[in-house]
Amino acid sequence: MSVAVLARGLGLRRRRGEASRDCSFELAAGRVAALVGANGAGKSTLLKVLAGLLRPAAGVVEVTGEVGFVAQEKPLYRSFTVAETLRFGRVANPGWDADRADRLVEEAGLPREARVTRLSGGQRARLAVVVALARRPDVLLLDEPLSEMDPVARQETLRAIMVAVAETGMTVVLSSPVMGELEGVCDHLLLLDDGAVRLACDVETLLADHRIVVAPLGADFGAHRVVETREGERQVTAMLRVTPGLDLPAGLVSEPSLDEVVVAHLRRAGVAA
Amino acid sequence: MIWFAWRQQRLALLALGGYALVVVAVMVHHRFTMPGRFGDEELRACFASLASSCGITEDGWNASSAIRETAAGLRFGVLGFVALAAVFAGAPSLSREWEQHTHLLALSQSVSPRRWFAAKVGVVAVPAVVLAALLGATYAWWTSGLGALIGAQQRLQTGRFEAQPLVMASYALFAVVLGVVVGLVVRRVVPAMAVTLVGWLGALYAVRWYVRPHYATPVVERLGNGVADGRWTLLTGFLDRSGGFVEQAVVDGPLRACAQGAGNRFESCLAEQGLVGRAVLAHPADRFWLFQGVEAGLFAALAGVLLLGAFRWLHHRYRQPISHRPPSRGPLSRQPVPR
Amino acid sequence: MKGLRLIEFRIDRRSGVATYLQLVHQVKQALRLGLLGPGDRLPTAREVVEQTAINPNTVLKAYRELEREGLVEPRPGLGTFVRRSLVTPGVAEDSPLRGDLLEWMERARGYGMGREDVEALFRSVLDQRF
Repeated sequence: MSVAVLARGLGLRRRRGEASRDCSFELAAGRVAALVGANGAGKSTLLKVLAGLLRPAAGVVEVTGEVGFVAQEKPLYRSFTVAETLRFGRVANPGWDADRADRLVEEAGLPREARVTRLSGGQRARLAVVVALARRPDVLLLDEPLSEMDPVARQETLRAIMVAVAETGMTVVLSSPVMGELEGVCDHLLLLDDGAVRLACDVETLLADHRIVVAPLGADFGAHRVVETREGERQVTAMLRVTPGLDLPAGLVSEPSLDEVVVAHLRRAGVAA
Repeated sequence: MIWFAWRQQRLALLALGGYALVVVAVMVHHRFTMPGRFGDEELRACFASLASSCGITEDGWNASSAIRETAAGLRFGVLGFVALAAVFAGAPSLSREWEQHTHLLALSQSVSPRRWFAAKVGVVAVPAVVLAALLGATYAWWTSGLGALIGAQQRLQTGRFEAQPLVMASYALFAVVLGVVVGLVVRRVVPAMAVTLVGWLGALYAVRWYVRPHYATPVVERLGNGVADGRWTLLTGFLDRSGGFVEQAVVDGPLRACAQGAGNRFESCLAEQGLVGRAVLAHPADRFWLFQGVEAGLFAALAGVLLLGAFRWLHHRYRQPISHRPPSRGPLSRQPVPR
Repeated sequence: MKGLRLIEFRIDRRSGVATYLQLVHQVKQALRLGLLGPGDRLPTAREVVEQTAINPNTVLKAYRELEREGLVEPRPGLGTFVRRSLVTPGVAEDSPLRGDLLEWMERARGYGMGREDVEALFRSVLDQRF
């Protein structure tokens, strides 16, 4: 499988004048990756570096093909109308898919003659995503694309992106402050902490690797890696990254949701920092 | 891309066009309505000798001072166009993109940063240069009809020199490019406007005082009783016996002391100092086109340097990450799922 | 291809069950109930995505899983088709077993049992036997 995005020894931060070099990962073509991390972890910086809008302090980035990008600010020309915004997309992109643009604008119910200033935050975000999708990128980078949208718009936007993935096999990286809405959407996870990639893996592998075990206080978790523990009066609840082939400790074992795994890792990163 | 750049700047460009056309119309109006005698040779000699006895009426004097004032005002209007174009069309061009984060949109499209930049510069610079040249040409044509007052023979003087078509065109090019490039550095609209204005006026001032006098070697001209012929005077002073120029300031003290002595006449004082008469260090009027050409070339070259620098910076800064060959587009091909 | 689909998928994002497994379960359920039978075409990945806004890779993964279990087969250029049914005689609408269960549930109701009581009883016997 070909690699669509690759980062090697990427420095997103400078510490005492020296670039950190601990952001490395690769993403296969056709994957839909969630980029998660605390505020200030470097999500926007990483996306801008991947989009070629920011030069990293160190390291190498390789991106295959055309890159589409929607910045967190959802920038659009405010004095333009919706129709003029689409015309801008057309003149700025030889590969512009006018049919797709028209269809998406119609689906989103965006009035073509309305000025961008008159649109709501959610509508603006949808228009920004439409512009990014209609240029038919090979790699689509979205910085918190859903943040200002209502639930219906979120669902419709995710659907439009997923349909584009099904149609073209494009690769997507999208950052999000919450994980819940991305379940079933993302098949890959990039967990960023302080400019470093702490986790970069397949979502299903990640879920298969983690277990929540409720065991008596002082239980021995053996060779399994403890991500996080919470101690009660008599028992301890632990999130484990299990080592294959080893028995799980005695206790009540359950499978965590993606949300739980991500939050546990984020908290762990926060404590370590 | 030209449509896009035009769409972004159209208000400023239309306003500039309107401004230029109004100033042009005022000049045309004046040319056709001013009293014809301002062009008369007789009157010219009369003004030059500043004699009150050559039969000019009170009305004539009033009309002539009115036309001088109008000319000064219009010169301001003509030169002001360059500043307006730089501040209101040049400076916001890129600073607004950064201020509103739309550079993130523009620079992440397929179009290269350099093409985007070229369109943005071109759509402001081309109309500004054309309008500036039009304003300069109209000013030159109008003043050519003013004869003795501020006619063509005075066009090497500061203030008139700058309002000519060739230099106006290159000023507009430079000032607009300066505005755009300042926007790329300052990235906020209002500060970019202020920096552009200061930068343009500073550049013009510096060139006027420190560069323009050196376009050619000034010549020494002895002052006679004749009419000032439109030369550009740099220094006034005296001619010594060997034909050299002595600056006024050098001999000011001794001359003054001498002239205040009892019974001494000024001429004998001069002779005492080894001077033979009054003179100026000046550029003759026939250097007009040479000076226009050098000044226009200088500002065009400065604009070129700014453009080149901005191009190189953009290319370096916003180069796409290393990219492999684009993959073949198509549906997920691993699975036989029909569309 | 618009029109009636043979199966409508429903994704529960909060269930904690992997999305591709939800799809697998729903296809199997439809196969058991006879809603899908041999020769029926499953919706394409794009159609499922259009309907559910899930990742198309997930749909493909579910279909691969069903293929591995021998329930469906991909026909290049045509789509993914059902190979065999999971309908057992006991599940059909008119089977005697179903009738017996219906009768049993009526009796349970007669004893004043609620839905949860019935479920608990059913489950405990189910766990005992299967």
